[in-house]
Amino acid sequence: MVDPVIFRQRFPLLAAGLSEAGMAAFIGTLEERPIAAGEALVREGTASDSLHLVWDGELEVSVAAGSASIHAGSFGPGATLGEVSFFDHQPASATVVAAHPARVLVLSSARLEQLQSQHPLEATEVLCAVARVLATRVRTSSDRLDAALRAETAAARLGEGALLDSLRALLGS
Amino acid sequence: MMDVAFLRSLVALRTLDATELEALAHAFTPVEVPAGHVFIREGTRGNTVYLIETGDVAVTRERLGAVEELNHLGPGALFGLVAAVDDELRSATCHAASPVRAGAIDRPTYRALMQTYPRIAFAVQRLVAAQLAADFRNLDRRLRSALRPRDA
Repeated sequence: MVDPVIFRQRFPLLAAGLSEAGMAAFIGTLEERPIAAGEALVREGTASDSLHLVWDGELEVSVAAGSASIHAGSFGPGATLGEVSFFDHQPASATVVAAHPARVLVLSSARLEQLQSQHPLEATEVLCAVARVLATRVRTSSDRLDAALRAETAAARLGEGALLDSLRALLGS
Repeated sequence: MMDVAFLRSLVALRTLDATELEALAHAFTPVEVPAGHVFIREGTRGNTVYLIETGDVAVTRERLGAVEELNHLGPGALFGLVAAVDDELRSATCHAASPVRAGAIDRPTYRALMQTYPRIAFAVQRLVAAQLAADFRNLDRRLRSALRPRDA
């Protein structure tokens, strides 16, 4: 059972626009999913249309680069994952694996529609919060692309190994 | 006001009824500009969001004197979202790559509309999130392409 007080502490952005009743309704739309250590929550390139809120544990995100797998970050309680596929219903852009036993709260598109029909203001607040996460992702990606285009020029002079090193550096591993 | 029939043609707004579409059309100020017009300049403040009705908009950044095109948007696309959502400086420059007809909406107008019409708010907010997801995908593709090891 998800405690609303702890939810507010872990997901302040999501909780900011929700009243007590709205919070209860929102929590009611979430499904709790335990993930064993080493288990994949999402695999890059596969269908995914749910938003994942990390409740506890730690999840590792990686992306494929040719035959290599590049570590793109670790995410713990309070992180949201899957927001891109949640809105465009395209395959996942990264693989997410639990480093330690973890629990995530899953919001499906269908559940958000249900919330909208009964609590339209709360459902919109949830969308606004997820849009802020997406805006941050767009800013970060723009910066990485800038850096990549600069690194590409440098790497072209240094050879292929430098390209992979550039990717690792950009993705923060 | 924007063209109601155009708004009705957008998939994300298909849940709205005639009254709601009319209200949304009124909230947008129509803008018609020639090719080359700069809607938004990177690094400046602003919270106006634009919805393209006809024409193309190029999204660019200038780095070390070179202009890089990050995205190229057409009818039905929104731009100016990032700063409108996170209230930071504009993250890129957006200019008309052809003659453009668009609708403009600023944050106070958008907030007022959201409070009066919750169903419009949900539909538009989903459109906003979907556009940001598309923007992310585009950047992700560009990033992977820029970093893909090439044959020697």
